[in-house]
Amino acid sequence: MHRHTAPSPPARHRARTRALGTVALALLGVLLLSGCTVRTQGAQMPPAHDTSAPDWLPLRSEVLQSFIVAGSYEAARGREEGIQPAGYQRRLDDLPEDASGGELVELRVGVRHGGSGPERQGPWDSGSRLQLAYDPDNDLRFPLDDPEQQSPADAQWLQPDASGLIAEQTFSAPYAALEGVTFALQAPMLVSPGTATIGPDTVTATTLPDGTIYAATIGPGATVEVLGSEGIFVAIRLSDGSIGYAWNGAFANLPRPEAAASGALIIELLDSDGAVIRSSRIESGDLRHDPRRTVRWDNVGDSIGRTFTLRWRVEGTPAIGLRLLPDDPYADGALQSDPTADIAFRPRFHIGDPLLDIPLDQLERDDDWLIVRDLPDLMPRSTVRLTIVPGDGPDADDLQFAIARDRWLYGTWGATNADRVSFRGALFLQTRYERDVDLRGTLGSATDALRDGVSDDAVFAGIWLLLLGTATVGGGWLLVRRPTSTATNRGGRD
Amino acid sequence: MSSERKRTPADTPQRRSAKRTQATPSGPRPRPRPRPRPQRAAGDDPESEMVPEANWPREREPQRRRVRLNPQAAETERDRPGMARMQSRFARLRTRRIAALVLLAIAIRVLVMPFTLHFDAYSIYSRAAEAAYGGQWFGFTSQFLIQGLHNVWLALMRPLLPDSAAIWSPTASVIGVGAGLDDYDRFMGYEHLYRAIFLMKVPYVLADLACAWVIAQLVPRRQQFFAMALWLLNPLVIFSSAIWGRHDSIAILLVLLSLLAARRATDAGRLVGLLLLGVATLSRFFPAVILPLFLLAFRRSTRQLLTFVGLLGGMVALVELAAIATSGKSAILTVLSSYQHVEYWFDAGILLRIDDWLALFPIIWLLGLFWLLERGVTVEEYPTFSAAAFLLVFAFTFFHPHYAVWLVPFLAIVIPASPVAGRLVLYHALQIICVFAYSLQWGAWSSWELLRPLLGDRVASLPDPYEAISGQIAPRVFFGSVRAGLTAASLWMLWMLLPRSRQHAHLLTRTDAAQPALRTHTTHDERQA
Repeated sequence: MHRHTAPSPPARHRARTRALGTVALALLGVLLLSGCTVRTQGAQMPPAHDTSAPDWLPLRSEVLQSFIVAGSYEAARGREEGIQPAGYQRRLDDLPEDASGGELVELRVGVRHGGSGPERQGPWDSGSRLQLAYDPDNDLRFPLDDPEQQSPADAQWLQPDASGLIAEQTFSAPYAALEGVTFALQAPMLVSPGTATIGPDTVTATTLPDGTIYAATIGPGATVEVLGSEGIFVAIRLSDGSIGYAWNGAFANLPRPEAAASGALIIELLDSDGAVIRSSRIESGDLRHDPRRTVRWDNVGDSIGRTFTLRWRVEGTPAIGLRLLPDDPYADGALQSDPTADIAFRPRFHIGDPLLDIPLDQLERDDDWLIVRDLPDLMPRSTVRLTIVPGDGPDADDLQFAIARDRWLYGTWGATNADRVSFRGALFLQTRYERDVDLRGTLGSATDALRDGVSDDAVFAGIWLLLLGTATVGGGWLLVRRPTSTATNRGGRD
Repeated sequence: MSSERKRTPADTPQRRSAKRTQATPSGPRPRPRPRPRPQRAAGDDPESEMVPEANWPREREPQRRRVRLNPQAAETERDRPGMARMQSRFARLRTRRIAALVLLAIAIRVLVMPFTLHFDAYSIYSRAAEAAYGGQWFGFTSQFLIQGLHNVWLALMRPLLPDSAAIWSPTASVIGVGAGLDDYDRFMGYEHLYRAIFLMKVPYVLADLACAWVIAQLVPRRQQFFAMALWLLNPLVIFSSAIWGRHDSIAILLVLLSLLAARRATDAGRLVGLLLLGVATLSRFFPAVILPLFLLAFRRSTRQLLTFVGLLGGMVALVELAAIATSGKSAILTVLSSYQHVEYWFDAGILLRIDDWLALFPIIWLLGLFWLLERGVTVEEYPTFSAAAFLLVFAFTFFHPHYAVWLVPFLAIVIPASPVAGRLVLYHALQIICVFAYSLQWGAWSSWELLRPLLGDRVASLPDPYEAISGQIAPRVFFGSVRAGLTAASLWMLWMLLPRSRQHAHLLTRTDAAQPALRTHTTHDERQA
């Protein structure tokens, strides 16, 4: 007969101590997880800096490179192989706040002295400077420039209502010095038959008013015969006598419409209290169909981080419209009349003095990297432009900067000179950031998911608990159970 | 010739005992075994090497007990009073510990199964959905066999997943496209997500447990606990099957079963073993590195070797024809042209000119193979050389982290038998650490993303491991160090294992008539050891 004795007192004590220790550790872990955040540091290795060998180019002119300030490029990129700037900024919006934020703490730029002697390692005297400034013109968070929204063929337009109001759109200003807005304006019947002049760029005419099938190329400044218009396209007589269509924005001037719209379009900027703080007016004579119509006003210096409302309304009866984006592509604001949609718009900001302007010669160096540590506070998710300004010192002609040939930062941003001529690649650039990881929020998400899982699928939760409990208790019992003692068995049938 | 070689599988313990006495006339006559007693004497060590395995419960594994028996030890111990009671007690203790180990391994797996998943697992089940939901059973030609298994399993578990038709990716089987991230997000929003993930992993975890059982059959009883623990509690195994959700355990099970079948030393057993290994290779390409070793170790003659090679060729041709017949595509060409894991074996090397490439791993592997062709491989050495082959693979090739599970099965067999087992375990632990550090080069993709079923989009809050490492140290230095550690540990283990390959011999089968010289030599070495 086999009888099982209870654990001896020391064994019981040990088991109890172990159990208490385990519980204490678990509690400590939970407390640590739930009660604090952890500061983490990481380095972004954007596609501009990878294993490819750099091309070293002489620093003869300004070098401009835009990039996005964010906590984690990898977190935003997620499972996608590559990501474009617009997609990157949109993904940042989708991330938890602690992931999309982050403080830029260090910047590394690929610059070296091209000499082969000791001057390469010693102090430089080039007079060159390194500047950092916000680059709102490259910020693609607003839906006007979102490539996914570029489908004018099936564009929807919002017309004025009976009171003359077209739209009220809220938005959050990511930069200081808000000075205007660009929007897509629809104004039908904008031309009458006559003569027009092509603008400064070469124009491609198509066979139909849809921009698809090539018909002819017309040089800048050419004079053409205008036959009429269809939507945003102007019908013109081509050199072979056939009819072609060109986008109306390509013309330097067009014959004035026979029936010009009467009245005016008024664009107002309202602060969060609803007070009108800026206003612009476009008279009916200037209301042309234009997908990039911009109005400007005195800049609002402290606009950064503030919420505003843009209001478009008409006086009189101009038959105009604003482009409507029905899929709510802009997350930080909404159209008042329809929160599931947005107006195609983009606020404009005044680009002031650089946030950082330091002599390049004084920067710390690590091999062929220049290191910038004392960086200004930059708004997370903002677009920043780094500029290397060549100097006129003795070493100026020897400085070189590194380009990752045919690779673009975050997909499309390459380095350019001041005239926006591309260097056919991105500047070698590394950013290092610090951010807080919200462990409590993370733990809360896990707890919520478990709770939802139990409520959604109680049957599985029960089976899972049963399996886990059986295996754990059974295994634990087999491990803890003491073997039968000799004394006990003496009393048995042996 | 030793008495051990005279044994036959049909021996019962009693008859074997009598035969042993006859073979060693100077030994004591057999006595009736004392009745097993449950009590344990004070100071008994349950892991004592003195435990005569012949006295274990006969109804358990009479054949294996017979072939592993150390006659001299058994005869000596049989004279000791009370030994039978101790033996019975040790057997129960060992059985209990093994049962506890298995339950603990199950508990660990059950704990993590519903809450972790990798996108790869979703992809293969999405491909299976074409069969289970759409009736297209042969749409995906790459990984023909393993995909078929998933097709069947998903069809079986489909009734347990209500309203699940829309959770799978419709493009998963399109090569070059695959499952989309939007599809995956839709899957993550499934109402019965945890149930689905749990069921998806069930075959892998069952294969894990079955592997442990087969490993236990392949080692002496006193090493069973050690060997099973090396497998069941191995982080690489748990990570691959229960956390990542990959099916490598199934192919590993086939490899182990092939060894179990082949060691029976009958032609039928060898044939079954070969077929199982062939199926494993067609399921996962890793066993390809041990196929030649199997042929060398288990062939009885040149003619049989040719027959085996022909059979393997026939299996490949059969799968190829089946793939062409069902989908119009070549399975082999599909794998070779679109399966990057094959290319990984050719990554390291020296470029001479144009496509003239000296690939490091194939050269070393072929050198080893040529050496073994000259030297010969015994049945007992097969696990050791297989372990060495996989060590070589992970020493010199690029791999995705979950594939590191292939390191484990043969190490779990040979390490417990090694006289330097403790050190080998330490080196293996170093390997495991290096593999997990190595896996961080994929950033969150191979770490935090596994927790997406539990954390959802919140995984983005956790610091990306690659960026965190980059913030402190040049990634090339970090991952170079980790890789160096992994390669060095693997090569050092290989070095430790190979000179002792004969000492690790413990798969004692009947004497192989076709290899008398090798067999005698091995037995001699075993005695020396």
